[in-house]
Amino acid sequence: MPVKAGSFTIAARKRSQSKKWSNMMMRWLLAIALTVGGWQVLTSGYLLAKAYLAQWLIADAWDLTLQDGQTHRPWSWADTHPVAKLMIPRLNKSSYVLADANGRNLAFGPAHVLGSGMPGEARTTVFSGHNDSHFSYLSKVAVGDLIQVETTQGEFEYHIVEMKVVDSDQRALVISGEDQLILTTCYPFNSLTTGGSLRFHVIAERQ
Amino acid sequence: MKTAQSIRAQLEAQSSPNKQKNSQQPKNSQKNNYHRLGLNWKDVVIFSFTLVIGLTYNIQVNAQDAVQFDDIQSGMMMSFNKSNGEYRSLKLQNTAFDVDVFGLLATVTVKQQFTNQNPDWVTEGVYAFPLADMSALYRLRMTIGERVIEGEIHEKKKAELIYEQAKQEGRTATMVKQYRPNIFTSDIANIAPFETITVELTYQQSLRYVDGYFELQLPMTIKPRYIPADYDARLPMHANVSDTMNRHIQVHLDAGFELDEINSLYHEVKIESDFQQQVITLEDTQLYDSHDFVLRWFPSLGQEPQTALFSEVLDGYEYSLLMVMPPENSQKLNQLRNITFIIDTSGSMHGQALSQAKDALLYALSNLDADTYFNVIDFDSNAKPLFSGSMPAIPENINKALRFIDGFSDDGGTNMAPALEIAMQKENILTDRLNQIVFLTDGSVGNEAMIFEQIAQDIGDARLFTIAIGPAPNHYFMSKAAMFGRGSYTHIGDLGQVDESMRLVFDKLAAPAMTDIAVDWGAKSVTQTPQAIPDLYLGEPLVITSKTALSEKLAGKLYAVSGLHDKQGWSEQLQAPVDGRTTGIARLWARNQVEDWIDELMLGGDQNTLKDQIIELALKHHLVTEFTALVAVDKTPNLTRMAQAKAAQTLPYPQTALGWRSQLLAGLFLMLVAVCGRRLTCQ
Repeated sequence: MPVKAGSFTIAARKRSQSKKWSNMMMRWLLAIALTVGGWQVLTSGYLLAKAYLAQWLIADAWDLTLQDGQTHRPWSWADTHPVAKLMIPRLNKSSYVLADANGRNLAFGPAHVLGSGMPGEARTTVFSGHNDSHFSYLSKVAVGDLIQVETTQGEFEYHIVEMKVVDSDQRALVISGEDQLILTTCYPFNSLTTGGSLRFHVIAERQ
Repeated sequence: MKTAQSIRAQLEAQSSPNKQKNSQQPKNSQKNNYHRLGLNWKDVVIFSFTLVIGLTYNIQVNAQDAVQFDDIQSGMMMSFNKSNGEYRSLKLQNTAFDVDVFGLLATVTVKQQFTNQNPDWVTEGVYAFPLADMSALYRLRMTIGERVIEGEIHEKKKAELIYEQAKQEGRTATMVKQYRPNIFTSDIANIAPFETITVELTYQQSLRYVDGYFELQLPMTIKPRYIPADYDARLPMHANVSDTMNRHIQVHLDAGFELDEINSLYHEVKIESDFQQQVITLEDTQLYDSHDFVLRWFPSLGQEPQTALFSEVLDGYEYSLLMVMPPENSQKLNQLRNITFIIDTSGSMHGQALSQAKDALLYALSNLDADTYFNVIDFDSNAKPLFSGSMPAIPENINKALRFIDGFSDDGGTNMAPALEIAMQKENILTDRLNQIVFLTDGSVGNEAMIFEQIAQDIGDARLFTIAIGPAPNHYFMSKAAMFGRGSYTHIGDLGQVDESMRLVFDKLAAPAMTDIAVDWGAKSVTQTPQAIPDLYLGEPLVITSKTALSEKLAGKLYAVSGLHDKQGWSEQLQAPVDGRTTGIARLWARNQVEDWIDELMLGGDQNTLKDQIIELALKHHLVTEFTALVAVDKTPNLTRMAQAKAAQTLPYPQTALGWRSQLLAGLFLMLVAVCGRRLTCQ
């Protein structure tokens, strides 16, 4: 009987050790999940904060530009400057448009696609913006809506004539010799993933 | 003193987290606790992974109408996307085929209309058309709006230069290339949005005669386009699912012979007789097609050979196409034969190739008439004949031959010269008979020039039929040797087909319908292909093309074809109706000539001279060859259009999603998992 009891105790201890081990693993896993989760939430918050707060600084820079006609960087280490103000009166929305639509600039606001024209020129103007921040309102525009663009050359009015979804893997942006405005953003709106090939494409023309 | 029971309970209490509440029922404690949520931690991990993957899974809306080049079964215009290498087809509106047939020569004009239904310029497009075997494209013409672009033949380098320059200047240009031997493609630069482009191309095709009919095949198959079920309705419907296609086909058929029957395999047609020719018109013009248009006509064969002659006069020369049709297959033939089989049994024939060749040979031997003479030569490194001279195919000799063939073993090298030498010795050539030498090998010929010389010198009146087995025999040598030997060349690429293909050759050889054929062209001098006229066999027409300077022609003299048919002399006089309507014969002659020169080039002819000759002839007759290409450039460019095309630069779309949503969701989810997990493990 004692022999039996002794062997039983050793087995139980072994089991209890392995349980301790798995318990600790679990804690670690949970701690990691909490940290990573928290970090992700903070990052997304940071992205949004950056997107919206930057617009205030950009607004100030744009005011300066309108006053003296010079380009002004919204913050001293910025690599871009505002080139236009975009307004959609019906939706009561407006955005400041930055020069050069690269990934870094787009994080701060809609941007002008290099190689396209500017309002007032006989060439297509293209502004692009993120569909989950600055250009999320493009999901609500309609054919016929007025789009006002304020540049250093004055104010230009466009009316939306067409909206479509294109696959950027199959098509490229076509720049024609007309003064038209194209706004593009990723599609579909409210998508959880990024990097898809579809683009929402709003075409507006001078009238 | 603790009992074993209580120790165990304590230990378990330490390790199992929710122990305290259920200490009364220790055995069931674990089970109950996990069951509260119906989960254990493994489930949680698996569940969370599934959820994250599920959330990030994106249903890609993608109209999958990308075109695979290998699928092209009819004329197609496609836009090319540089960034992903995909081709998409433009809408086809109209297809019209206009075909002229003279004997076995078909001239096909295809006219197709496409519309660029996208609001974007097609900066780089491709037109592709499946071209049948033995055909040559020589004319290409495009109409865009009111402008006409005509193709020109240039030397290849020059053609490429012209095309590149035109493209850079924003002009519409196209360049004809051969994607694969049977698909030709033409690049199209700068097609405006909603513009309709008409492509018109003309090609010449030599038709085949098999099983008693000639066959013309026009590529018509259109595959319905595939649109996925989850296609987003908000996407513009530029991918036209229902191309309402119009098509027209008209064939003017001048067969040159009386016809028993004309028949269209898959389509309703209307057939009208118009003097010498038949006009065949397609009846239903609207349907989708899963079949190519196939037209067959059956010449009525007689007891004797028949001839047909087509002539065309061009730039002071008369070009002729002469066809000799064999008599009916049921004809009993009295041509005495002496046949020598030369079989390669070198190591490379090992296995299937040799066993099939043996089978075919046994078949040939067992079908020999007793009055036919024969011999078999087995060669590898050395040549070993069955008999020292040809013997009659009496059962005794046939049995010897069968045993000889059974003894074939596959080893040694491939040394052809001695075997050919034995076959052409006088012991194996019988003067009062048709001497046929069948030469079968899978090896490449090393000392071509020497063997070639040997054949040219010793072949005499014998006929040489060459059969090559396997993927890489020397076609040029084999076909040229057969041509000099007034025989034919058969290539069997598929080792599984050796037996079958060889039987066809042997059956043909057993039925010579007319030998010693000669043509009197009624002229002082003439160039003809083939130079040495082969014999006429049942089931296979003989085709000879010629070129004669008009100044060399003897006035009032008719053409005459003569030969030995059924042991008797046979001859026929003919006159070609020079009505100016027959076209394409000159081009056919030029094509044959270019082929001859290319063969010569492969056999080591003088590179520069031959190249210059080929280029000169190709430029004159509008031929796409190894050294020439067809390029079409818009000669009357519209300046504003050029500016537009130039302005129609395309820019890539920027990536426009911050992606904060997925991060936020993933983060919140992970935090939730952590909190729940904590509650489960640490209560």
